[in-house]
Amino acid sequence: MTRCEPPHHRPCLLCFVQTLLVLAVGMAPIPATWARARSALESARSPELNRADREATAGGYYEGLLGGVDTTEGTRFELMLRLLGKPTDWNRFRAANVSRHLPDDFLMFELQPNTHRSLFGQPFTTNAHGMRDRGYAVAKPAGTFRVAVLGSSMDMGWGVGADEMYVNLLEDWLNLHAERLGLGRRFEVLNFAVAAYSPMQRLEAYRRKARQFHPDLVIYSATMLDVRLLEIHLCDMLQARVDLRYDFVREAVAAAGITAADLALDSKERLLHKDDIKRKLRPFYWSIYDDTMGTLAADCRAAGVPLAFAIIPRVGLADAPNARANAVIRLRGIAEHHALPVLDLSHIFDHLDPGTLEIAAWDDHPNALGHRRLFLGLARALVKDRALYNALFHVDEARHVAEGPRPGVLKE
Amino acid sequence: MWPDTQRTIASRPAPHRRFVPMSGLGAGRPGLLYPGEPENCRRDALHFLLILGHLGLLLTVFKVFRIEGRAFQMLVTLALAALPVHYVLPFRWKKPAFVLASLLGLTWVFGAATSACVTALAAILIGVCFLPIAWHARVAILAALAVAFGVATTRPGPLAAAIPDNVWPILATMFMFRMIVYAYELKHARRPETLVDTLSYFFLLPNYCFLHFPVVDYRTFQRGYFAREVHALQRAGLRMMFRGTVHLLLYRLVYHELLIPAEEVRNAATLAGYLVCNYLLYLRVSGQFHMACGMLHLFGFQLPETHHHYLLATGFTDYWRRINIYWKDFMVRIVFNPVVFRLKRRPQPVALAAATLAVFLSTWLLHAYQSFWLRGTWGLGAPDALFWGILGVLVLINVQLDARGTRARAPRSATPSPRRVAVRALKMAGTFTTIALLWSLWSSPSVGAWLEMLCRGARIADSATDIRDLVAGMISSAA
Repeated sequence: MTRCEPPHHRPCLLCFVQTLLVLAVGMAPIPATWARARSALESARSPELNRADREATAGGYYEGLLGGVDTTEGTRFELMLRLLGKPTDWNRFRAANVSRHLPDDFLMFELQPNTHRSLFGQPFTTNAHGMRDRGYAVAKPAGTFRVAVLGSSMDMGWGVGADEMYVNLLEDWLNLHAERLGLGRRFEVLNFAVAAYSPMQRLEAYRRKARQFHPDLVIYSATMLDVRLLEIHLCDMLQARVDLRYDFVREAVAAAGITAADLALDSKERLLHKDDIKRKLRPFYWSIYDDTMGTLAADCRAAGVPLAFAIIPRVGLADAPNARANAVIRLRGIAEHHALPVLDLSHIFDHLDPGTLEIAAWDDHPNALGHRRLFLGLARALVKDRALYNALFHVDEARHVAEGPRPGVLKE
Repeated sequence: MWPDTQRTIASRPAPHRRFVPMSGLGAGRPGLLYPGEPENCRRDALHFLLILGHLGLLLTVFKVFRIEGRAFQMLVTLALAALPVHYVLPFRWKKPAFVLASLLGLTWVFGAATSACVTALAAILIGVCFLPIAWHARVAILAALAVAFGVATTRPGPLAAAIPDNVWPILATMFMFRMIVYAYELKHARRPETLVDTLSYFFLLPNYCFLHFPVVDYRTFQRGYFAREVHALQRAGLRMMFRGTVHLLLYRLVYHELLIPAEEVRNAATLAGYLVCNYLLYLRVSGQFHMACGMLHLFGFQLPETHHHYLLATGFTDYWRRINIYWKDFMVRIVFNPVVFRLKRRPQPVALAAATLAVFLSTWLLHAYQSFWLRGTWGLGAPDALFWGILGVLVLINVQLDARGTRARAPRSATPSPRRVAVRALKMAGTFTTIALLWSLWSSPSVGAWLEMLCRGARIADSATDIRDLVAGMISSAA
């Protein structure tokens, strides 16, 4: 039996029109005041995990980023990323062979010095001191103002070239702005950030590395994922039986009630009861963070170096206003507790298409455009903050108030 | 003395009998038709260009909304490029062209190494099916291979070391259920299956972006091939893809905007919101299934719909028939009918009960088997067992009631009375609520966590405060 059907144009036409409508909705510019509609559209466009799932898998993601996952679940996670479009040559941090493991060391790992590789089609270079940065001497040249940046993967410039990193854009702008002001001062922005460094590792990096370079200003970069990074660092140290180094960390672990039985290892030397340990430690994360910042602030104060607290967002819904609200409040609270100026850039990617700002659909680190927005946000925040602006450019308070800051080339 | 089984469980024709294969050669209508081709294959440039344009428009929508990741968009792009070639090729070359497009898609998405391994292992599995030995022996070899592959995925060894990790879930999504259906067909088919039919069944283009794939029935797949005028088929496919798009967009709205974590349930209002949204996450599955079957339609494979208004089910058997229809058909063919047939001398309620319980036991175990291949863990837990067990019992009761009620059912009038509408609405609400509750149990890490969440949700006082605050907020924002 053959059924030669006459074409039924009406349902087809209707479906075509409906498709056009959906496309129009997807492309329509929605006014900034329609917050609910904008949020719904961003959600409809987002292939990301929601807040709860991100919380549940953030450890896995970062452990995956580091290359530590070798389980079947890890394989399936990689497969899901492949379906999102992750190419085969998209290396993990460890597989990229740009870092080295530090056995029995609180820092756990660091970047290898003098690395010249290509990662994700972008050059990944480190200088002689193992910094993702340009080359600098340890001794500070005369007339040079040094800014040290302590941070994690976003500040390290994961997925972008060295010249596209916000840290280097900031250095270029500071020098240009000083030149315009007629100051005989050079700026060096030293990047001590390393992917997946927890707040405690950033503190340690300051003590062991940044301090040698005699910075004149320290920018501590916080992210909404810091608590998760802190958890990974603590678990890794407990697993590797590394000395916890700081009394406040030891006290928190003791107060959490972690016993020798909790620290039992399996045949592959991994924590058998990792989930139990995490559950016990969870109530102490923010206090550990607070103590870490207290120690860093005290160190900087003792050295007479101003310390600024920047809050850097990830691209996409992970750090959308609602999702980040609680973490931003906690981070600001810690900064205020230690009287640190806050450079809050958490809004910098709001209402922008994540597809244009992230390095890939499966990786929410900012791309070159995202780094440019971070730089613009940071530079504007530095200009707005009288004390920091004054420290950077030697402009007296009265002139700053009378003339207002001159932002130089801070245009989109 | 007992009502007929077919009327209670499978009211429609069996899936493999639903479509009539094409016959008759073309004559009369304008359009290109090569000699010897079926009439359904007649080409028409204008119609086809409109279809291609619509597919291009859908691809733009997928890109704008970043639907289902890059692999999906790559495969739709490939379909867009391959479709004109497939369209103009003579009928006998269409299936080989589809297989070739699928292989290209596999390579494009997963790379040459993974693709080569998958193809080689697939060749071994399909080769076993064609061995000139007894059916039981072939099935035994296939089972042994499955066990060997399963061991290779979990334990390091020479086989696991030589094969990329990605290979196993991809191979599994192609073969874990379709091989069961195919083996069943090999046993019952009147003539041997051709190689190209077999390859087209296992190498399905959309499978490489949707690893959780509908269990397509082999006979339905083959009998539906060009069972309808090609443009009508392709337009139906586009409508299916559009419906899939809507489901996937709704899913994202629920997932990002409405769903709260189970830990944040603190009163009846938040519990109700969680139950509904958690259940609606299934929109992703229905969306993907619509999308996958829609893509297959574009290449001439007419397939039945995968889901049918499952949120509007009026009872548990009705729900079972509407949600994941392919799974229900798979179970009916592979488990239900054989059990009923074996128990045909027993009273019908006994046969029905045994078959229904066998279906749900198999469904539970096969979901764990699927979880093992796709997620790497069996996922056999108390919530899982309780979910399938309770649903099985509910369907069992419903089947018995339906069976008794069939004889006494009065003919329906054309316009339903208000009472009938109200009863239907109540039934829908009851079914929806029960399923949403069961779904939350299935999603819970443990029965204890689920009960704890329900206890938190039972705090009515907090709910009243929440609702009052919500209303006050709405009034103030409106003002």
